[in-house]
Amino acid sequence: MKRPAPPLSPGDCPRDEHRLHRRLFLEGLSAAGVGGFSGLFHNPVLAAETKRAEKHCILLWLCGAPSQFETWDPKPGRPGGGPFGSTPTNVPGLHFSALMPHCASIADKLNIVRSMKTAQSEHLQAINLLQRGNPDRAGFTRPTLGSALSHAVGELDSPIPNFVFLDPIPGGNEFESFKAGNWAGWLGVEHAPVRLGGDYTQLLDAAPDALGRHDRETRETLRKFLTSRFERERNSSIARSQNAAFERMRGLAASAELFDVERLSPRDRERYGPGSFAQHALMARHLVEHGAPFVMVANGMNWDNHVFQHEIHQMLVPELDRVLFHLVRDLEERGLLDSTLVIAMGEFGRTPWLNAARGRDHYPNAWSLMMTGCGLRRGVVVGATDADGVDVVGQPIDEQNLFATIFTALGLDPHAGYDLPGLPTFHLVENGKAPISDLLA
Amino acid sequence: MDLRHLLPLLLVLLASGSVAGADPAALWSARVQPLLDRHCVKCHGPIDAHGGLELDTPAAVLAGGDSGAVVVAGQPDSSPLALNLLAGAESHMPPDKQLTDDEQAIVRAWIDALGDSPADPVPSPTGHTVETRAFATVTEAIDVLMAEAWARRGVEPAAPVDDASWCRRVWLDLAGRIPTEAEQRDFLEAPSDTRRAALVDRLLDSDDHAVRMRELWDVFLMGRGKRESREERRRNSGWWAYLEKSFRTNRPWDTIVREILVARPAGADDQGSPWFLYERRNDHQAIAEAVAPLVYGARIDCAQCHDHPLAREIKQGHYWGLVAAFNRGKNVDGATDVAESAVGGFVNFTNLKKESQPAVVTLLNGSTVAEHRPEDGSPEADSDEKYLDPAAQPRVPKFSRREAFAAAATTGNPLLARAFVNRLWAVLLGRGIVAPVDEMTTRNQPSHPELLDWLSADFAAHHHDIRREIRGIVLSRVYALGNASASAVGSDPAAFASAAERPLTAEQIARSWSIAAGREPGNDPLRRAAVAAIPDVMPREYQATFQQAQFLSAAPALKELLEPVPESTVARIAALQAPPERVEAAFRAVLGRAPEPEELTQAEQVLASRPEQPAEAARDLVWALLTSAEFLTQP
Amino acid sequence: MKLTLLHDSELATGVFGLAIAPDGGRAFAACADGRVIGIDPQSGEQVALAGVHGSYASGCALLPDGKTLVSAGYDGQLLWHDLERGAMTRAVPAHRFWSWDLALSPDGSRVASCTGQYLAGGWKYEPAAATEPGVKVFDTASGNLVAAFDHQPPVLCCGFSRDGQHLAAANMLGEVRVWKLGEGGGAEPVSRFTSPDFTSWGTTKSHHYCGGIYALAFAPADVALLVCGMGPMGDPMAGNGKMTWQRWDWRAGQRLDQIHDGQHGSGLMEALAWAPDGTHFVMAGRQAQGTWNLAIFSAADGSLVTSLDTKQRITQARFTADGQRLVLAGAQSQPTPKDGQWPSWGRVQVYGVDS
Repeated sequence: MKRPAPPLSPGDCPRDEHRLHRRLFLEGLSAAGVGGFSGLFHNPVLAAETKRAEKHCILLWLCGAPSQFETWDPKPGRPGGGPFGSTPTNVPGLHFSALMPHCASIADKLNIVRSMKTAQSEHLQAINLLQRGNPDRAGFTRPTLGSALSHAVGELDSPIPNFVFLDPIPGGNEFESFKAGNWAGWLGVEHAPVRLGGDYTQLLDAAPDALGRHDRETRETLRKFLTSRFERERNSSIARSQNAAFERMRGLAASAELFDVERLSPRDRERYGPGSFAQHALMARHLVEHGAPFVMVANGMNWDNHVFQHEIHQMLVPELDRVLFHLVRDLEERGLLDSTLVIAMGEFGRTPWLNAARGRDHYPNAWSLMMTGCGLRRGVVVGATDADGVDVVGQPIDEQNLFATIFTALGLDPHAGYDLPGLPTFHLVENGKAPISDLLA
Repeated sequence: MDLRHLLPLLLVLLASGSVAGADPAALWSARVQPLLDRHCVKCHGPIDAHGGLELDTPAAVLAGGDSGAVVVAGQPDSSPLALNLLAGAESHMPPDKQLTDDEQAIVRAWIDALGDSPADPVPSPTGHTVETRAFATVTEAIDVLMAEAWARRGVEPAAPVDDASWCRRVWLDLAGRIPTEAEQRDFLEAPSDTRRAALVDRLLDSDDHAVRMRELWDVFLMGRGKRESREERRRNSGWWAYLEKSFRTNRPWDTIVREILVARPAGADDQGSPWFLYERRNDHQAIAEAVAPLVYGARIDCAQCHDHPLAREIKQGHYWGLVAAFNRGKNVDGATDVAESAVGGFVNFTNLKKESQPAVVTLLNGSTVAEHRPEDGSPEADSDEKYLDPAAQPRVPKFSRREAFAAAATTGNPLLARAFVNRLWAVLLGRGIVAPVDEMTTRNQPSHPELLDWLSADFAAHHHDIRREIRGIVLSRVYALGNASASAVGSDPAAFASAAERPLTAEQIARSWSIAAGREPGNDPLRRAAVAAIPDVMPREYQATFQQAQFLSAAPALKELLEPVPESTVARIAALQAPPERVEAAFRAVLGRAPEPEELTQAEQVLASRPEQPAEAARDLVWALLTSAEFLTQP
Repeated sequence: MKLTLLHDSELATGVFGLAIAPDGGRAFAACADGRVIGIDPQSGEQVALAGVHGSYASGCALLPDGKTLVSAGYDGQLLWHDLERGAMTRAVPAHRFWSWDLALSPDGSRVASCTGQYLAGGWKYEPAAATEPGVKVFDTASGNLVAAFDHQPPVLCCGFSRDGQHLAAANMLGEVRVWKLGEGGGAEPVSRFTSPDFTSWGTTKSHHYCGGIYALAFAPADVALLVCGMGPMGDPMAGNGKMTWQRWDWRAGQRLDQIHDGQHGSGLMEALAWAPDGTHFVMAGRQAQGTWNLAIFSAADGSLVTSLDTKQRITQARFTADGQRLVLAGAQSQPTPKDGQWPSWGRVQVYGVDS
């Protein structure tokens, strides 16, 4: 279990690689001259070794909650089954919704959990629960999955943030409130996500700007000087915190091209599909190829179809289908699937019955998710629901089992304690809850 | 002399290893209680008492558990409380954790100290002094009591800030913006014996002040609206107008609280008052959780499922009692009104042991609101006679729970005044007398109990006059203190021996930027962008986010502000000839002071880097000043 | 004008399509379980037709001789049902995606069905281009395809003009296209216009489109086209867009009038019907907020004459030939099953219309 590191002070250079990175930043090395992040490693063999040893996780966060009937657990012919029917997959006896033909053809590379049963039926609480993996304890903010992994498997001084969150949408109702909240909890702001996508990426100045590079550096030098002086004179923690935030941003600006959708290969962009979610999923793959430990991709809270369920899922599910198909196969092709955990889930499922507004409502009682990759078997279906999907049949899986599985798959002990001086004892997963053994490789 | 004020002295003694003659009560408050709260009280406290042992008060510790005493006074080596902490102990505590040697030493020191003075091991919880002293003004009370406290602690307060800084500080606090150069000059040229009071009075009377107070209290009461639509609704519903009017007319605080709890506006001007309840969309628990800090100064969220784990006076019944006060309410569709039923809202609540009890409208002091409860849960029939005017929209019940609660909470409830005064102090001084501000429980002792008692009683006695209170605090000596010198690092912030760091709010930043840049005020896109990037108001812990750095670096609204339009600061500076002149002008316009020599050197380098483009160089210089920590912090 | 409930039948699953005999003695309900159910509204007797769709049955049309019924479904199929023999006589695979709506020409010789899947076509989830014709017209006697027209999917509704010369179809983006049929007709629409008032693009929760024009009907003399749906919402998941109808001069592409302020609640309106004498029209659907889910409007000035809350979602409305009765098809909120048994959630109601 990695210890939380003390915050770096300016001039702190604990490792050779870091020193090299900083020198390159300060020399104003443009991305074009370096030819991508991998150029920053002076030893290509070392670079490859390092990448293989790294663990990654891509979370496709289907916020608002997709319908399990229109994705992983179809109930064709049942009164609540909906109009789409099912399709057989390349795993005998396993069917997905007919809206997912691509995933059906690679079902043997995926794993489906159909027996999710969680306790929160409202978005804010459920997003909170499925992002943090344990019920809240009043007064303490548990880190989200991305922050926990940033802390556990992330690199301290990597130019790529340990936790990248791609979501172009400023809004998103309850998800918006969650986004504005405290993601990193007791791990501290250095494990908070760097938010990109849409306008958030433009602020990286990835695109050429009226303000040239030279100007930015000059004025930043002065800002930093003034703020550092203020920090010294007043022992100001505000000043310290501000300089640290700017340092992070400067570090990020050096890898700005990785976050520019326009720089992705046109063929890849066409394969994944034109929507912003698909493009960001492709970017996630790209970031993982360049060493990012955790990338979360969302698109607002678009799955919450209380109104026009079938009318909108007919668009959302095919996009997800295509994205997962290409993402999983691309990772496998690049030798990354065994070190990258891919999760596609929302915060609950949707009701078996249709409401008067052509919609399905929230349903945490029995729902599905997909996870595959690092540390997991392939082609497994965990659990089942009854004929109408009203309830789980057999052993239900909750968020703690899920997170125990995620941590174990990434090589972490899910019951290890956090080392938090001055706080009560917290573990990655509380109550000794077990991972889903059927899934673990 | 109150033993608690020997604290710093005792800490020094403790640190130096000498514990002879140490006072157990002081040790308990300062070191032992926090330690046990963190590591032990969850299982040995108000909620659960494993082995019959509670460890949340000295009396409870001394009472021991099922297997007998855990402490032998003066003999840590015979006390299970200390022995079980040792690594490898047979009944090792806490399970799964090992306290450090230093932490164990604290417990041992306390047990040791008990041997020396076994009587009265616990300080009196609320610390009300027997006689209440008389002071002529709020300011006098603060000055005298703070001076006494500093003397007792043996602490030397920092020197006061200079007049220019004081002026800027007061403008920011009261009007929510920096003064223009002219306004600052006016202050410095006014007669020195009266100018401070005159400025304060003038600012308190200004519209800017009403807006500033609304900005603060909108966030305190409602949270920062994190969605764009939220701000619009707060505005359109008249909530902001209601708050501003209340502050502009210096409406008494108890009146404001009563109005927002009752949510039945009398006049057209007050139409927004129901928004406090309305925005919570019939989530009665959320309402209860918002009301508690307001009328009690304490969050009671954790009392939903069980009695408060640390503060014994907060019980589950209080939480659900507060819910019951509001759960007959229902938002009216299409109008900002909260109707109230005359019947219903009888709920039971269960604790962790699944024991069920009925929720009764209850105040923290234990008094309940009397009402008729139907037998065996059969729903009471609603009828027109139960309402004052059955045809009214919405109709008002003859017995209104929330009115009854509001009356009880705002009359004869000293915690109302105490909570407000404490929060106001925190806004102006950077830290409450009880900190954190929303945890005024018996577990959280005020750093200056006599002062808080006096201010609260005085506030209540003077019709909860907000302006008077602000004036009193702002004209005090402690408010005017400068910052700690670097050598005073590590001094206890609760001593208020120097000015605490206070980050500016987004609204203060946006307005002040416009002034510093010499541009038109009222730039709403700039304000909105700032609020989105820097939403916190009085955060417990300041954390500059990556998003904030992005905003300062590249926000279009900020970039636009730095355009060299005529009369702007950037244009003015670019037009000056000599670099030192430009730097001086920039510092004065933005930071309100002259540059230090090494600042001058650094800034000149920036200008020198593009000699042929004075406007761009000036823009860079102004940007660095606007985004410096000094600008973004209260002086 | 007064509406009085005369008959009320429960059906096992929600009713999405409706056809009635002109005298109202028989009704046919296209249901969510894929079946088409013949109902005698007075006695309540129900008989399922032999042909069953592989997904929701979404529309049905009774040919003038009363012997043949054509139904359409989300399986993209058109089925012909011989009512006398009680058999399905033809299945035409009309579309690869759903039939969203089925319309019968006034002389009963043609049936039109519209289709189209909403797929992601751009960064902001603009609908992707069509992969098949949006509207198809079939000969009701032979089942042959007689015309196919292009439209931007998803195409939600279609309808014939009263003289059978024109066909209109409208989609999720509020775009209406009108084609000339038969002699002098071609693939290109003779008119197209877009109403911006029926479509939402989510700004609150997500970036996608929803809504659109859910029903259309040519007005008497075919001068105007009546369309209905739900007004735009910042948060499409609220389902609380304004109940909206608009009348358009379809040749000129000009809006003539729309539902009056203060006369509407919010919710999706998906059914339109003209009274046979052309003096009034009905709009119905689901009430999200307000006091009605069905209202009758004066054709002369568009003002609301009478309204009703039937307390369920109305999917179709049909006047009998004498204009004295109004038959409604509905789908309640689907109730939760008990022990695998699902309570009924479809309705067919007959109201007496008293001018």
